[in-house]
Amino acid sequence: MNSAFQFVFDPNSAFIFSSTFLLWLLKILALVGFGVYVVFALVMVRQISLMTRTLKTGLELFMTVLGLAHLVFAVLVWFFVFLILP
Amino acid sequence: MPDVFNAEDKEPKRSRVQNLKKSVAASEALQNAQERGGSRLSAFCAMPESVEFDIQHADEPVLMLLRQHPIVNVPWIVITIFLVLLPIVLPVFSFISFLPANFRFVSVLGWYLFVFGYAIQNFVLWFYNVYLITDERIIDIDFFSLIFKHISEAKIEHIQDITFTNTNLAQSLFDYGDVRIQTAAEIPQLDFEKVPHPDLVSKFLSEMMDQEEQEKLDGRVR
Repeated sequence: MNSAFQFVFDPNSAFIFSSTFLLWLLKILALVGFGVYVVFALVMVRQISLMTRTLKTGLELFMTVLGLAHLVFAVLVWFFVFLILP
Repeated sequence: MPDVFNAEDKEPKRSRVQNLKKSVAASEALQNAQERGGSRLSAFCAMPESVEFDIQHADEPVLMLLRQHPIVNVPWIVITIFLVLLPIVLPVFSFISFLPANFRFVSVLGWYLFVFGYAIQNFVLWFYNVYLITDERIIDIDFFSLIFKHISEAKIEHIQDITFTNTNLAQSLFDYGDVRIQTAAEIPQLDFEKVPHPDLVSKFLSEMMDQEEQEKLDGRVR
């Protein structure tokens, strides 16, 4: 375990300069970035729900579906990052 | 013992539909506005059907719903179209061509996710930032950047002055502008910004003020 840790984080290790490490780092960054975006999409769904409660126009369903579609898209992209990136 | 004073029975409370009919009959501007039509997505909608808001009174009809003129949406729509077409027209992802294909695929997906989010955010903010005129009040519902909500209202009887302006060529060309309403209420001024037909809105508010004045004289104030 200790040797694996040293292999990854030791500045003298060959792994830190390898493409595997860079791709791994990119995947972590992408997961964090898209994770933050999923939170933003959740805030948007919450806000649309608040807006539809404040003002009823007959288009509540359309607006809610729009917000949810955005959230689903964001979650799907996050899963893509999690599953298909090496 | 003889009665010293007998208060007259108050007029029975009218329903929302009755109040609506009364306002239509009294306002020429509202009749004109109604002729211009207006769908649910319209920026200028007289007597919109099925529009309600959370602080509405039971007998209070919405006489006019206003949003900013659709022309204000042009910049974000153009930006959205540009962002959608950009990866197709120009090789913007060429700088990550050294990455494996799955990384590039996720980058493209992420790009379109951001564009989708940008478009939805702008549309929703335009759609829900509305100005409402009822037979009793004017209401300004504002949502800022999806987080802050701000509702200001003033009674029509508190309106003191109404001015409208078309300040530039685009506003004159597309007939939209600002309507500034000064009130004696807690909020001294309400601005209806970039609304379509500001002259008609201004005229309608003046008629509502006259009507309110008349009701006050007749002792029919709700």
